[in-house]
Amino acid sequence: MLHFRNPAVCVRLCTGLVLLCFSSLASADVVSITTTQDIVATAEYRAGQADLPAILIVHGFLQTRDFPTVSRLANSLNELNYPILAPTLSLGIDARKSSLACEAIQTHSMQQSVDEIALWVDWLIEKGHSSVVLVGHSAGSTMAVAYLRSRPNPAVKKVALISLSYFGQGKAAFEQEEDALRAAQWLQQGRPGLDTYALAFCKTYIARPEDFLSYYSWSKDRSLEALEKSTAPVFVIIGGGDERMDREWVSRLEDSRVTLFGVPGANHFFDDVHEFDLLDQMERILEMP
Amino acid sequence: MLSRFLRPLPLSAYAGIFIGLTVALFAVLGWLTLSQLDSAREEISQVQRNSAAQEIQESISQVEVMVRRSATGLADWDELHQQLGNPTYYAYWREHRLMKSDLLPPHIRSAQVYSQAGTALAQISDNGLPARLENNDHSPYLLQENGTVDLVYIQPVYNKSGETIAGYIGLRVDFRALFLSTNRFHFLDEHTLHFNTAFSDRLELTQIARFIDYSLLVSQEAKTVQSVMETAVMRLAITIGLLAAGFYVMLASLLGIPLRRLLRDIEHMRSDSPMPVSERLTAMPISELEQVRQSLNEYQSQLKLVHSNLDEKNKALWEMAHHDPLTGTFNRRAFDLDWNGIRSTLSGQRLQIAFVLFDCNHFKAINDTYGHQAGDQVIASLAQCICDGLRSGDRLYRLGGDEFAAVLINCNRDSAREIAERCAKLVRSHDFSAVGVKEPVRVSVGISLGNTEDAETLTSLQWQADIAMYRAKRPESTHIEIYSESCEDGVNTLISSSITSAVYSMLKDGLGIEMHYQPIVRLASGQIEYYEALVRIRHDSVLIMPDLFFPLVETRDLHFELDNAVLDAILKDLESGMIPEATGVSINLSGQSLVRPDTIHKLEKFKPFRSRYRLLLEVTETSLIKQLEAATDVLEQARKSGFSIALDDFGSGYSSLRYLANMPVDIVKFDISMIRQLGDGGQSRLVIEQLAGMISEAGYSLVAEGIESRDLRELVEHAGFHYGQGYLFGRPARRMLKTPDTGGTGKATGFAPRLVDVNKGN
Repeated sequence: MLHFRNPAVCVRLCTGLVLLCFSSLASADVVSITTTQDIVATAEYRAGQADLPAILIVHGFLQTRDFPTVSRLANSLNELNYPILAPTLSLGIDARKSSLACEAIQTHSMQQSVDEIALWVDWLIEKGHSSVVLVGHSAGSTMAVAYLRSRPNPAVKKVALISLSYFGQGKAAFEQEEDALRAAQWLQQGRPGLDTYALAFCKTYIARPEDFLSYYSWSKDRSLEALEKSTAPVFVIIGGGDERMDREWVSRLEDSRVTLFGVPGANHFFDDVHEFDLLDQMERILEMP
Repeated sequence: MLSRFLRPLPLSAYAGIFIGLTVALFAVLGWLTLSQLDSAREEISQVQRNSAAQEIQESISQVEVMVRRSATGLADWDELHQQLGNPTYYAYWREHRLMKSDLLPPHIRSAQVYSQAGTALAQISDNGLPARLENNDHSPYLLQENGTVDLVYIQPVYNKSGETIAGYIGLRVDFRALFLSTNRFHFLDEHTLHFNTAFSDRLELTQIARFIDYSLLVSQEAKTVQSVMETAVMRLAITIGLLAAGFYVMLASLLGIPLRRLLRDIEHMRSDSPMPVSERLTAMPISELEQVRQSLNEYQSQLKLVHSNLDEKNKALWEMAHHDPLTGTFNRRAFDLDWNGIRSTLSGQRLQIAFVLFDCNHFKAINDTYGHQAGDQVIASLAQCICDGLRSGDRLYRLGGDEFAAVLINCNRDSAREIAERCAKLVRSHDFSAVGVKEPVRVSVGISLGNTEDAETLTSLQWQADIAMYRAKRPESTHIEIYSESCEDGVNTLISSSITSAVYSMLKDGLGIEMHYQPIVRLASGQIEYYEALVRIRHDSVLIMPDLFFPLVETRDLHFELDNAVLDAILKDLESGMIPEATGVSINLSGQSLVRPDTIHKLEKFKPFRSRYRLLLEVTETSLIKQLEAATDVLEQARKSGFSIALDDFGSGYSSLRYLANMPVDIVKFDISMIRQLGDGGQSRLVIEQLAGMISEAGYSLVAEGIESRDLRELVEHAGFHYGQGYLFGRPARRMLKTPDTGGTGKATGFAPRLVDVNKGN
């Protein structure tokens, strides 16, 4: 079931943008945590209205919290007085600040990322936010799904997944099944060395086989299975013009327990005017019980 | 003042000096300009050197900034921090990520990451970077190897919190290539950049500038300016040279040549040689010079005219000066010139010469009878007749009065006589009745002959002719006489060469003059009133009387000179006190002296004697009438100086009372002929008595001359005369009579000269 743009919400958003011009945003604090690999991970925290749920936004693959789709959404929601926590996943790099190149040595895994999401959820709870809305974008949505599959904190009341993607897309991206087989083979052979793979839209992805497979294994099926088992309501927002969303994936999502919102014409990153549509959808999700 | 030491220079010299100064001035200015250009070029070069050095320094700084910026970027690179946190795959990462990173600076040779302890995360062989950082001095330095110069840059890498050093990033870059890539060189030629590698294995970056050699990039603008300036100076030099040459040519053609032509013309004028037609002055190119040329031409024309007029005037003046206006013959001045010329030019030549004197017989009587006008016409006719009788080319000279002379060159005795006779005949045949003269007019001719070879003979020709003339005047003569020694026998008493010599000696040096004094007595009292001074010449103990030397004075016109000598002699006598005081002295003056202003100056010398002596001047009636106006001025001056004027020989000439009234005289001396007629009785006596009475009543004092007897004295006194003079009272003598000699014999005492008619001369 698809929900399209609400004109009333649009008017409010415009009003909010005008107000944004004349009011200062809530000051952003960079906070950090130490991961289980003894690596410092940072996040940007913006305080909000106490009775509103805190929103934890997870960025896409190898990106940072400064990725436009994420940063725009964080700013907009904070304008609506939602407390925002936008971490930059460390990806095995101390206090990582910039996006990680595909060609860089990838020393991180899906599990490490899930663990960091869990740590940030815990950080919010420690911060006093009893209700957390977990938001992910692109591969960040996949990580949020993986988080839901691992040991989700009960404080996570809602999950909003924007442009929810999956790994193992095959030739829709640059992935090759041979890479996964080789990695599995290397793994069985106990060869922990680096190898070059293709992962998602990274044609050259240099990683250890287990790390590669930790991501690659999150296929459509595994993602849908995790979504089916989620205790928190899951909302998925997809753009009508997102070429990365194949029809089968959308169809299967419609058939799942998730609530699916579509934004006609929006691409994978909800660029241009579609950022307002994205915000409309997010408000609807947040206002929904 | 300076001009005294400078001699005039030709125009070309001034032009040369001017051009030389101009060229020198330009050379100095050109040298100064080029010198200043060199200075400016040196300053520009210095600025360029400084700028180039600054460019070198800036490029070094730029290299350092570029490398530092890269190192800083790398130090902030997440992947580098990833390697510092987990260097397991550092070698792979360095090779595939670090060495391919865009963060690396250009011309990178090698890069290395070091741990916090300064140890390379992996030992990479031959990467040119140290395996371990030895100390904390991580300033950039340079290494030279195989002719290349590399910069080694070590940058600390701080952890993300910026509190501690997490490790180091080391970079080695091709310094030369990076240095050149800065491409900031505007003042040096980058192609000439050379890195001197003569330094030790490690050189601080701050020291590298000393090891960079280069050449300055010559500014195109400076090159252009220099080229333009040099071209401008060269063009200016050529222009100045051309202008100087043109100026010289212009000066030469416009001034030099025309001035030389003018000068040549003036030289021709000065040398009085005619200018050749081809060299005549044509129009000048400069208006001022043209005006000078025209003025010169006009001046030349006027000068020619003046010369022509002057020549005519000179000719006329010469004619006037050398011709007698009455007769048209040559005058005495011309005679003197010609005579001297003959003596000097013909001296030494063997030529016979005849000196011919002509004198009109009884001319005085003619003159007195028919008047001066008729006398003048007679003289003119005589001259014409004589001229007609002379040979062609012979000159006739009027020596004075009725006396003429001719000098006949190359003429012997017979020819001279023939010519003289021809002249006399022409005179005789001439009809003088046309001028009113009824009596026949005759001339006497005196001829002397000589040879031009004999100078002494030439000198004596004149007085020889005089002697011959006086011989010819004798009644028994044929009126033409040629001098011979026998002539002197007869006329020796009249005139002789010794007399001539005595006269000239007296006139020249005052030698031999001797004044004799004859008393003039007041008839009423019989007392001597004053003395008349009468001249004599003592020569060789012989006293020469006036009648002997006076013809010479007359002939030679020596009256003024004789009067001067007489005045000097009287002054001496007055000064010596020879003349008794309270008397006076009467001095005879000739007509010639009366018209000479010098006479007044001479008379002024008598002023001191005015108080003690009565001073008188005696002048003849004839001399006064001839030059009445001029003589009147002198006599008036003399009267003012204290002289009384006595009219001498009254009655011997015109004796006109009309003249007497106009004459400035105080005393009238009746001529001896009139006094003698007084003694004849009859009509003459009555006329003379009446005349004397009238003159006396008119206020004149009367003096009677020639009183030689008591009877005549009484007649004179009866006729009203106031003073008397004559042998009765005393003869002229050197010794003064204090009282008159009034002896019954009528013979005066004292020295008596041979001739006694003293009143005929001074």
